[in-house]
Amino acid sequence: MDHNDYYSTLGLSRNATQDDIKKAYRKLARKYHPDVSQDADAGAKMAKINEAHDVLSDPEKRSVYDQVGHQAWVQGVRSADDLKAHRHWQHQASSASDEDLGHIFEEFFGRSGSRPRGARGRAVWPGQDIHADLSISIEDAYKGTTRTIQLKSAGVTPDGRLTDQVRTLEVKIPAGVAQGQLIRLAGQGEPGFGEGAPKGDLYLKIHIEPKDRMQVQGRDLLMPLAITPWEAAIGAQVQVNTPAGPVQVNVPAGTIARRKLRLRGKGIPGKTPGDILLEVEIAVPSAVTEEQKAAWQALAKAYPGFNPRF
Amino acid sequence: MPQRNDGIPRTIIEHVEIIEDNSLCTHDIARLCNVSPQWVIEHVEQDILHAQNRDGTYYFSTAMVWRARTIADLEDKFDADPQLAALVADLTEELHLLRNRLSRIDDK
Repeated sequence: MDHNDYYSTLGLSRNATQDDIKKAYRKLARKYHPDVSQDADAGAKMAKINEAHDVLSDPEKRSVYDQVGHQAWVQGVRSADDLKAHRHWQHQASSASDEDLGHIFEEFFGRSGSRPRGARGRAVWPGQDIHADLSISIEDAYKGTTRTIQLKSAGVTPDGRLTDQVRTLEVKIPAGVAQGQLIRLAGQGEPGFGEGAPKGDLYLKIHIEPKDRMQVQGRDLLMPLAITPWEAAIGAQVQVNTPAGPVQVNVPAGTIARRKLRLRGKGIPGKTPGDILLEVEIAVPSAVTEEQKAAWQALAKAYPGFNPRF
Repeated sequence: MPQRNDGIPRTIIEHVEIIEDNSLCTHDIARLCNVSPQWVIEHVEQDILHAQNRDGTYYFSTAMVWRARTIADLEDKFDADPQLAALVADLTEELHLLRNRLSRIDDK
């Protein structure tokens, strides 16, 4: 799905109505939404579809987009001032003729060259917040980590040229962040447009990745605990290696499979630390030698009325 | 601002703001989801968004940000009825939980 502009991304002509835009978006969302699509790059396709829809479904944005064109829009042109800077850049780069740009200016400012009413108001746009997911490991959630994030956004060089800027942030994630926790990095969102326009914020939603059948829900860690049939039947004290370190666990007599044993306060640390929930699995050893077979037969004899199927 | 060898500017952020659970007010949710505070209040009153009412002020968990953003997005892009949008958000959440469980079973 390699498209040149937002209209072709949505499969629309430039005179599409708002109703056409909605219909096209809904059809494509059903096809490419990552929750329903089997395509490996469904997420990337959906992001492009969302980007196109966000612009074309907003009459103000669409109006500017139609006038400045796709190239200028993706390079950050959102206002009259941006268009001037863009013209300067385009002139330097000689990638568009003055005649073409003159036409854009006439369309945008009117033939007299003065600003239309309301243009000054729109010339200051606060920067948008950026929302992103940040994946960390279970160990990182317990101990903290530093993660490197690259952000791409529009920027203006000292000589007024619009450019794509890549920024790298090294973010220290403290110990004790929970699954789904939000972290705010003030002023690290999209830059604002216009003089004195504030920058947006960057919000990171923490995703703690499951590992070795361990997974985090909130601050609680769910992990399997394999025990033997005799430990389950008569009880035992077993050592469990957890991300919080080794812990001695009392397995009560009569423990059944899938029972959950709670280790209070051993989950992800925090003001109110989470718990570790050990989900019991009973591992049955194979009977290989004659002695082992005899042992199982003796067990069967000890439980003559036991039938797990009733 | 320090530069790496590749010339990309690098900013080191030592202290981040952790948004504690149940610390978000109506205006925070409204800003994070690009909706009006009235939209947030209406959705709480319809039991679509869940909030703690402390001394007459609503406080939201950070999980509610994802839910509110999803519902606002569905209402906006699909003209969805709020209850229907909430149902889709519920089902999406359930789908993710089931996929997580499935991946744990597959690892066995």
